Amino acid sequence: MLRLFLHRLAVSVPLLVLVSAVTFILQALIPGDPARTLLGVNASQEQYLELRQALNLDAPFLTRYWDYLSGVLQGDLGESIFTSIPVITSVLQRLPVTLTLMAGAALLAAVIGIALGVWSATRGRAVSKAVDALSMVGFALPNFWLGLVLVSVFAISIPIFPATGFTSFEDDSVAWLMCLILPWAALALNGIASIGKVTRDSMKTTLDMDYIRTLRAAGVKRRSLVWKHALKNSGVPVLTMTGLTMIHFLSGTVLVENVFALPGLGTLAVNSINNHDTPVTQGVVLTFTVLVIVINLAVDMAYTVLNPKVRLS
Amino acid sequence: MLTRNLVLTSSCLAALLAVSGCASSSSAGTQQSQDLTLAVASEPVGLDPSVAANGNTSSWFVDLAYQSLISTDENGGLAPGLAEKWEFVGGHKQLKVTLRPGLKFADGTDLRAKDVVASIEYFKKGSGPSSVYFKDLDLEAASDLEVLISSPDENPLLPTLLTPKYMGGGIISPKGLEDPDALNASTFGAGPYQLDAAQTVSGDQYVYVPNKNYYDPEAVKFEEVTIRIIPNVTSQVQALKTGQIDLMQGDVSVMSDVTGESKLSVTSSPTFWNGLYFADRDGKVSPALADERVRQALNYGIDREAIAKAAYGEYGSAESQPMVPGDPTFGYDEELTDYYTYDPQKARDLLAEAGYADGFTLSIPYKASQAPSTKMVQSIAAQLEEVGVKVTLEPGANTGEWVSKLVSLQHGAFQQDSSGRPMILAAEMGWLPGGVLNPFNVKDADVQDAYDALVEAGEDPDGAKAKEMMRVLVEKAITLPVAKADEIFVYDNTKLRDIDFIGDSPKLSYVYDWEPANAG
Repeated sequence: MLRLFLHRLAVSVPLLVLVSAVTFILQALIPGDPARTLLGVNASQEQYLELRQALNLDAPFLTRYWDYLSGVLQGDLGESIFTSIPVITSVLQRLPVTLTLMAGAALLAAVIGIALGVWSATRGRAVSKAVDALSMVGFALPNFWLGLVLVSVFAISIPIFPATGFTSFEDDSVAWLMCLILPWAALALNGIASIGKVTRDSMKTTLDMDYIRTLRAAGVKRRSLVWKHALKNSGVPVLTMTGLTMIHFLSGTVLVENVFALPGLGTLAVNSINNHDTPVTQGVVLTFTVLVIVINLAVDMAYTVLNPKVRLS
Repeated sequence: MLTRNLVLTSSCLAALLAVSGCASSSSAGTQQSQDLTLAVASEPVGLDPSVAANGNTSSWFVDLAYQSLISTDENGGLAPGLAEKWEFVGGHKQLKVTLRPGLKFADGTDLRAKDVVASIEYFKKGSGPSSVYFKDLDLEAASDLEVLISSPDENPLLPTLLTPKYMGGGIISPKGLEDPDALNASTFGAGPYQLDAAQTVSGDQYVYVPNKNYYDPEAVKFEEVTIRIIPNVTSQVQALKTGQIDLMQGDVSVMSDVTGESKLSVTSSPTFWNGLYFADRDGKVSPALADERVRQALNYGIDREAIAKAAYGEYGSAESQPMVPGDPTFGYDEELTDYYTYDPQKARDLLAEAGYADGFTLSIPYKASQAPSTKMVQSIAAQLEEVGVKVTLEPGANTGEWVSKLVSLQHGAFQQDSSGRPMILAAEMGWLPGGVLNPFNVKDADVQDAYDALVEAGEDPDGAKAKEMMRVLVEKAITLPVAKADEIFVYDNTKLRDIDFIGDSPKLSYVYDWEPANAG
């Protein structure tokens, strides 16, 4: 397992460099000029040129990228062009909100998705078709639209949950939970559909295997047969889909945070891109990349738990 | 084994949730009484007054913490602020401002005349929308409490410039000026509130608490003022309905959701006009625009009523002059509202007379992030095509791109939404050489003469000279105004007492003047 971890770490470094380079290039291609965005229309030409120099925008692209990369390698992600707040401060301030949103939605999606998948695999065709239909609805509904509908119903018509905003756990644990239930629901639905479908297909395959028939014939109870034997051996694809779902949630957080006005990395990303605040955008993208790497690593580690035969060759 | 792993995985995820929740800050929750919570759609450009925007909502971030030298009363007239009195000294080139004695900044240090000088000198160098009006002013501390503000030319609007609308009169403390970068993260003013950095999360919520050193403690009505950034306007409406916020800026798209709610009140007023500036009136890249008949033809070639309705619904109306109603200094003339009627045949005739019977091509940058502006320019393009003018639309996806196109000097006209302001200031910004909205530096003798006459007249209490200048602008078709539109504000009337616009002006009453609904 240690070898696996070190191998992943070694591969991650060039990946991060590549992602930072691609992001830097894409940012440079966005129409407009950060200095113009910062100054607006009222600045004089002298002020504009002065700011371009101060922001190093006149330097060649490769020089600017190298300056940025060498800073990152020393742990300095730079400062926001607009607020002068260090990027690392903004990211660390908002990261917990996004992690909370992702983790909660993932837990919800995994628990409900697996339960639905097992249920539809072990019941008749009618139940299976119903789950298929539900999956299609889950795939089709945009999470931001669902968020607005959930607020309309459960925050306004039936005022149970708050419409917007975030309360930290340390300030009020109940309010924290209440303000996250609707965002979790909005984000998780798509994941429930994906995980449910993969679980169902994988379980069906496993339940048709000889060793299951043997166990059944030997008198093993149905509950144990399904939840202990079949589900475990169906786990690898389910785990893969759960990991992919969590990664998918990263992009979902951008819209869901917007709808619920959650102070997470998603809203930070949107604001920084609109404002042409390159250091902040780079910082958020790098953070997202690290999260993807960590999620993939966690999934790989979990494979070894589920199936000891899985090893790095 | 599997069950144990499932439990282990779920437990890890649950633990991650709890740890994540512990480390983050709060931006929601229920409100205390006597608190005020406002919503805006985007974070401020900066908290530094010298760069901050001065719109009705964007100014909140500054107005709360930086008291201006001169304030305005409920009718839009000038009223004492940090200054207890002011007077012109011989003509309108020098203004003497006398501070109230005993003023202090929020940090407890004394506010003296020299601090006013230092603050405005700093403001002059800023890139905010009003800094340009201060750049030629000279300042001198005549005594501990007296400041002399001198203009190279006659400037009857000097006192107006020191009101909150133009930001420069909001005085920054020496401590703030020592470290200008800090001005974007905190506040250093002498206003009724100050930023609470501990509760503020940049880009999410800005929390202001009372300034204990404010000179008029009775005027501080709220225990806490929070400005929340809620990008989605539908989410803002939902937050307003559930009591999470007290006031928001409305949008035509959500008004049907608000109307009929008894606890929600709406106030609106025309605050800006939207249309085209004919930047290249010397004809360098668009030769046709050098001819007044062509510009008039374009004005006749569009159906303003239809476009205004499409873009702004019941909150916009057709307008032929580049201004909105306001105080007399705006020069708004109701007789000019319908000066250009929709007459495509007249447009074709004028174009033919000017030698453009076959039409010409015109490229127009516009602010693509504004939905009404996008609708407007698309309608303009379609209607001008019918009179033979082919319009190429150049979307500016963000402010930076739009400005870049503006200053590139490659486009004969551009779309701009402009707020109402005194004619003198509007002219300096838009129609005189050196104006930021006059990128080609066009000088028009008639416009210059009208401006000079306006300035020479000094105070223009009934706006006669301003209206004369407006007539020149309209008759010469310096611009192509399409609509004047309302800014709409929706508030919880169980939390806030009547919110309205100041007099006839397009300025919403100042946030620090608002009162709780249950105030005595």
